[in-house]
Amino acid sequence: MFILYFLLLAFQLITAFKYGLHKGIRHWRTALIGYVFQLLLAITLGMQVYEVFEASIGNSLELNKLMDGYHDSVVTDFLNVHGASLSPLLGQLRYVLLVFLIFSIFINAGILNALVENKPGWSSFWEGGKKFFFRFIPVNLFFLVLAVIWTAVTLLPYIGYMQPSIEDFDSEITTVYLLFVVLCIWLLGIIYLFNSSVVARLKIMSEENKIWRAIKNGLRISLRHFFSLTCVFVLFLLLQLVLIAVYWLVEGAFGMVSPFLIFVFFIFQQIMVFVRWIFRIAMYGGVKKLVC
Amino acid sequence: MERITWTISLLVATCHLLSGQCDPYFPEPLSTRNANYEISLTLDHEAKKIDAFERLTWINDSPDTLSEMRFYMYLNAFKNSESTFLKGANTIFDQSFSDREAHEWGWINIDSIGRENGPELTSGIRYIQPDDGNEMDQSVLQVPLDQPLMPGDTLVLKMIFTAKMPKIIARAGYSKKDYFLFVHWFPQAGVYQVNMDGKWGWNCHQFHRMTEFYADFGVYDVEITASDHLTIGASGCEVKTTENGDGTTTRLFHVEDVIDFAWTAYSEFEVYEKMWEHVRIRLLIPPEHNMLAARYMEAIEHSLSYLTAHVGLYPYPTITIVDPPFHGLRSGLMEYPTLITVGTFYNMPLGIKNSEALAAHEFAHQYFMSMVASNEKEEAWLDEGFVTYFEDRIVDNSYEYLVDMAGYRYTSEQKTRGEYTGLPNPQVGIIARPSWEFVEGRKGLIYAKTATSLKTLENMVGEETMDKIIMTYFDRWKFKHPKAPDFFAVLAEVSKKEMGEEYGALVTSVFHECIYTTHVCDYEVGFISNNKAMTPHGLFDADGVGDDHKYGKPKEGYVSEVVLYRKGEMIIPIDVEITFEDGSTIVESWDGVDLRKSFKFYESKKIIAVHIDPEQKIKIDLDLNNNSLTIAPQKSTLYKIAVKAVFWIQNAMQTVGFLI
Repeated sequence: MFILYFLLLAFQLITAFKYGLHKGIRHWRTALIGYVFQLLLAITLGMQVYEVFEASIGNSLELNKLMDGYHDSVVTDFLNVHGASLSPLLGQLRYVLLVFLIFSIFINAGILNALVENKPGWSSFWEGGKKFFFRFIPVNLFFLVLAVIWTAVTLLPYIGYMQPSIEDFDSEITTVYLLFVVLCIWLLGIIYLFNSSVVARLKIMSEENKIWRAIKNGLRISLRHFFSLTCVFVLFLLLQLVLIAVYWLVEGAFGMVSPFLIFVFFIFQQIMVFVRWIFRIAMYGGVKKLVC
Repeated sequence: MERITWTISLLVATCHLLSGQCDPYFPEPLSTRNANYEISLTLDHEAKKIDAFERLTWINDSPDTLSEMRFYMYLNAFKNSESTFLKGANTIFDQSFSDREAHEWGWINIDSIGRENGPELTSGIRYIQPDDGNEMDQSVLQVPLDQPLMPGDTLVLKMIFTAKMPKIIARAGYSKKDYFLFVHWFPQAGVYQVNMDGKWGWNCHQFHRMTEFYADFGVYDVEITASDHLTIGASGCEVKTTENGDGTTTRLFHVEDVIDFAWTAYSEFEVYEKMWEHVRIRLLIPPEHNMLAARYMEAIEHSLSYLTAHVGLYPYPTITIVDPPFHGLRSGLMEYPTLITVGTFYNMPLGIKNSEALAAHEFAHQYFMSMVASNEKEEAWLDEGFVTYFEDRIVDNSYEYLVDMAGYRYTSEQKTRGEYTGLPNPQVGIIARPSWEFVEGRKGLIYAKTATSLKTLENMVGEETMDKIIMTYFDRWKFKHPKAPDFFAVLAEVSKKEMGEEYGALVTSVFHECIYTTHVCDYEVGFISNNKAMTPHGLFDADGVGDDHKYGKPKEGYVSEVVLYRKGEMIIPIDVEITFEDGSTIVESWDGVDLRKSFKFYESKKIIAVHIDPEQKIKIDLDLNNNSLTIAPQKSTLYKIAVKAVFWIQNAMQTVGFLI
């Protein structure tokens, strides 16, 4: 019985994964819209980073050392003398992330609409964004608040206990394992909330649910499909982590050590980011396949 | 007969080496040995207390007749919050101590003291506070003598004392599962010497938070009786072991020509031993850290071989490394003669060599603090600065990088320099002052600025001459108590001999400036200009006065100028490398004196780059980035930085986008 259940679940997961990937690839134009918007926002900050470095140590021969990789003296001397010039940029980064968070409601609505209508392309994306943006705000806010509460409930007590735990336990191994367990619990909760949020939005789109009913449905359905939804989420999360690890390895092996390699890596980086967008759509697709 | 004795000695020594034992007896004393201790103690691990008998043989090697003795009673620093050590501090090493139970405090008390075969002195003893007058502080004890101690006379005192270990606040104390570190745990005689004011007197400071230890050389015989479930590690060698049959074992440790004695006990220690030439390396490590054992051993071997080659021989037959469990980490990262405490964390990644660096640092203290026994309280830079300098050399020589993970890497020397240049105010005070006077910047100045200054010195005189300076200093002052002027005398002497009078005086003065002033060094390339050369223009006399007017016309070549600035007070002669557009370079010398210095050139080619101190010898320079300038920005690198920034911002956005 257990084996049968396991096989059935595995089959479901593989189907959802394949379906998600298929959708992700099929909706590449939708991914491109999100990617371009994101790139434009990031470039505004990137250009300022360029200017800050150019104005501060752009004419120093020491800058060449950064071409070969991280160089501690160059970086620490830069931070000691010009570190303050980075503070406004970090402030801006915070606001850019906040703005992107709000735009994400629109973008996600567009992506989900394109998925539900199964119409890849600009018009479906735009229609979805326009139609559901304001209806999704309370849903997103609700789940964001829940995520904050969940984080506070799970992580804050541990953070508070971390220092005393070192005194309480016979070795720090317990503290490390406890951290691992707490992080896993926290992550499971976050995944559940994420999935619930996606399901709630899908319910609004596909079944015209009212907001509160959609939220309740989202929480209920995600709980019922907790294991399979979590597996799909973790699978796509791992894929993204693998992507970053691959990037790290490749950059570590070759390095951005010449103008040509800088260009090559820029292209590589952008492909990576674009693929992350594809995975995002694929994840939504996988969730849709499992619950709709 | 002599030959037979010699052969037997050799055989015994060989047997010791082969069996991993250590022979603590030196054929000849290495030091004056004027403070010798025989201590016999019993550890009550449940009450965290020792009951001990101490016999001190102390020689008055001063020209003064003494009427009193002074003792360090440093465990009393942990008796209450009003001690000089704890007063005014809410936390020590991020640990609050306001809610301690009675049994968690520590203290030491002399139950009785008297001359051997002489009168009792107990009634006359009293705590004194020579530094701050804090009457609640009981870290220094005065013992009036019944009769004057004449120059050259030997005083033998016998005392019975009890020491209660505190739950670790800093260094000494106990932690879980019967972990103990016994340091400054017995009544130890202060030093009677010529002090900073040039007069003979007691140098026996109270225990201040930011200070360490200072004592005379001697021989220690310490007999420790403790429960069998405890693994014991101590300074020196275990020369006798007696199982008492009551669940306890008595171990006798012997060590010669050292300034202190430390020991540890723990129920969980794993023991690793290894021989390096004549030195037995003994590592005591908790099981959860045992993956670090080989790395610690390797670090100590590197340190031994490096310091032997670049400073001098390590004469002791043993070194014990104590890696405390994490709950006892506040007892870690310290140095005691032939015993050091280190520190690490479970599964420390291979790319992070901090544990190895700590081991190298604490081991280097065997040279600077233990053998060259400068005053850690009054002139901490003489040990901590030198040790940090050698830590950097050992780590960078042995591992290349202190941290090397995922493309993020830096050397130990870079880390040290960063600790100095990264100070919020590098001019916050001078290095050469007692540790307790530091309010801020202690580590950045005493450790990092001194080490960076020594590195600058090394770069100026070359590694070979630097080694000669250090070796001469070590050779001349080992098993003695040198002061700063003693090092400067050696520095001046050797550098003048090796580099000539003028340059020797210069490097001595530069190093002096580093230690005794708050001056900083910062040279900068201000700007480069390349103007086209012009034909003569203006009014010229031909037939009459100024009747020949000529317009300037461009001609072949450039009038180029390089302007350099001295932004700090420190003056160091430096080289300036100037690069022309055809790739040719010239090196100009600048005495570094003027606040603004200009070099002008009339050449057929433009200057494209200028580099002050191109070999980066002057590590003490606060900003190396402004030491060079090119006329064209380094576009490629700027693009690289921007491209990376964009990539990670995109990833951050992508992650944030998932939240909603």
